[in-house]
Amino acid sequence: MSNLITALHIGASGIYTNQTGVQVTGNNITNANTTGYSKQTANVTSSSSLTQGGLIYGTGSTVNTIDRSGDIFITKQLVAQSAVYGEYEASSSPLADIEAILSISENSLSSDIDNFFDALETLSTNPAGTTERQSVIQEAEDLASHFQEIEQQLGDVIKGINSSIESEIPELNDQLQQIADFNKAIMITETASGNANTLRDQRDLLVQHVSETCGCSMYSDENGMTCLQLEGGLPLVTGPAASILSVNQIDGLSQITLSSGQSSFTLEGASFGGSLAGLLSVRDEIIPQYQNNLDQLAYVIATEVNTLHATGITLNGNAATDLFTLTASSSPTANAWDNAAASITVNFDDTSLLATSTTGETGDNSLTLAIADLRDTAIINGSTLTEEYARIAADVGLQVSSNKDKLTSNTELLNTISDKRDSECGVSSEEEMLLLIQYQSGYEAAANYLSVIKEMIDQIMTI
Amino acid sequence: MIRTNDLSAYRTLQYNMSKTSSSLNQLYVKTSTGQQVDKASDAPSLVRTIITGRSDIIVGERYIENCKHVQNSLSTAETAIDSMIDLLDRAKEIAVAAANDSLSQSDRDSYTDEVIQLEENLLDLANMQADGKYIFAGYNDQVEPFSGSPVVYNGTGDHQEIEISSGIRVAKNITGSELFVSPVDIFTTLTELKSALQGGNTTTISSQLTSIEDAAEQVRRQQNFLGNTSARMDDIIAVHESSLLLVNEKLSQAEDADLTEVLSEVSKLELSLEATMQVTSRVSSLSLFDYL
Repeated sequence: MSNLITALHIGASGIYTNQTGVQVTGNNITNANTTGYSKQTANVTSSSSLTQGGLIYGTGSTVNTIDRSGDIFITKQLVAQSAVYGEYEASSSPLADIEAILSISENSLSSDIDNFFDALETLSTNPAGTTERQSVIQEAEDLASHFQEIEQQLGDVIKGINSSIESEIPELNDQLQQIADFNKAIMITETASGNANTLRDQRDLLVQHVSETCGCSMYSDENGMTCLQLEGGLPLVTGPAASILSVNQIDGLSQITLSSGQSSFTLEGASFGGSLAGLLSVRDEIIPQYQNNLDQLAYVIATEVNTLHATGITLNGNAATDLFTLTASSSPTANAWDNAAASITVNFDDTSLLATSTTGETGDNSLTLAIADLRDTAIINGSTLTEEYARIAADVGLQVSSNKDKLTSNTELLNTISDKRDSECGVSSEEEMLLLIQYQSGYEAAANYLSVIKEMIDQIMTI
Repeated sequence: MIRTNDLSAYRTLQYNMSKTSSSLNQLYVKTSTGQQVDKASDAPSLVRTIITGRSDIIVGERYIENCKHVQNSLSTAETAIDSMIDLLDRAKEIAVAAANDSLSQSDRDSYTDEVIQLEENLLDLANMQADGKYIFAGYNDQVEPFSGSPVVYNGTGDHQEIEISSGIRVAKNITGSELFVSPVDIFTTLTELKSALQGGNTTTISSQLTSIEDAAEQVRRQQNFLGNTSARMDDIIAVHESSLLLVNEKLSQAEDADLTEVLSEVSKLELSLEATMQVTSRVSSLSLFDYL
């Protein structure tokens, strides 16, 4: 009798085990499309055995744990690749803006340079002509205002990057805090009972997001808590504590500071990976380089033209002034050309102040010819002015196309790793259906077994 | 074994579909604009060709304009020179006719009147204006270059040069001094002819023939120069025109879309997009669920 009762318990364990299996499978099926979800498996073991009358009996089955599939190597790959992807993804938009500003269209800066010199050529055919003089001054003004416009637009791109950075930081802080909270929650849950599978899934997903934003590496501490640090080693999350990032504007640029405990660090672009690295490198390296190029271009045009023009005599017989004015940067360490593109203007709009000669005679066009010759002279970095602009525009084009290529290949790589993760940890509906059939038939068998035992007990009871 | 599942299948399909449709969209734009290179990143290596090409076109067209400007300017001078040659021919005829001993002084006096008329005509020609400017004044083109008695030159000896090709300049004017004054002063020549006629000495009159001939020679030299320059301008215009053709062709090769190529690429991508769409709709059509 006592053995039949044990057998009843064995049958019941089969029912429970298969029920749990169905439950786990159901959870998997319903989460098949949940981002970051890892497939769970009921880990069925046989229950501890009983010794009776010198025999060792099994006592059925039990679901020991519900395991979560996972591969720490793939997770780390995903975290690292997200950072690379984030970097190129974030820089693609400001780079496209720069490309549009330094365009190669028919209205680009180079056409303004061409038009200015063309107006001088026209003036040389009629040096005293008011219309021709007016047109030179007009083209010079167009050229100067195009420089200023470009400078202004590049400044707008910088502002846009600043506000992107400012909007990333609160979300990043939130994510870091959540990871730290999950660390605590996972430890509490797992100390009390079983595996905190869902919490771990959510934490891994957050780590991937954080890495896409700022690039980080992860490791587990002795308590199994996930710790994150920036590439340079500065801590983002240490066990249950999250660092706090803050932004403030210094000289018109958003500066990021990391506070961890009592210490705080000012972070440069190189400290980060991910989208922050992409944004900061465009803002702090790429744009300043083009600004410098344009400043040089504006400076060379203005000073070369001025040097010649100032040797002239106007129609009124007075010594000529500069055609262009520049305001030099106030910084003592600045280059001579700094601030040129932002400040270039035309000095006068009175056509009689334009000098075409060094004699002041009405038919003398020699100075105009000399100024027009600047167009074909290699006066900037061994090139002519339009060649220099072409070099700058081609350089922007290269940056954009190389970023685009890198973004494509890294998106594909990220997809490949995600596929690998899904292959390892994702839910396959077909597989789950098979498991469902398996558990269903297991349940059926256990139920049949129970009814047999019941009959046997009944028979005994009727004796 | 690699387990595949719907999530990664959908991810791959979605990625490929958006990649194909964005490439397709770019091709549509190329077809509608007709431009292969719209942004620098489309072909960074062609940027220099495009920008310097556009610049070369502006410059080339300006050089052609300048050549024509030189021709126009010189042809105005040429009408004056043609009149001068007629004028000097007439002076020569007068000198030859008046050197005849059988002529009476009153005949010579009427020749004198004609020479005075010629002097006035010459002065008018020397002070000829075009577009409000004195054409034989050098740089000083807004002040009458010849005036006074005897007539003196107030202009400058400068040539207004015009750039007709990179680094090449030609003079668009003849100065009053080289045409009228130096080495032969044509005004003096006429004045001397006039006084010889008034003096009535046939030997003195006929001796004027040499200096009239020298004066005519001086004018013809400038006429030849004009003709040569004008012909040279035609040559240079032809050179610029053919190089403009080349630049335009090069620019078009760099910049313009080859429509045949783009369209065949469009149909290729459309086919691939359609295939991706068909496959997408079938991804979950085969399922174990159907057999349960």
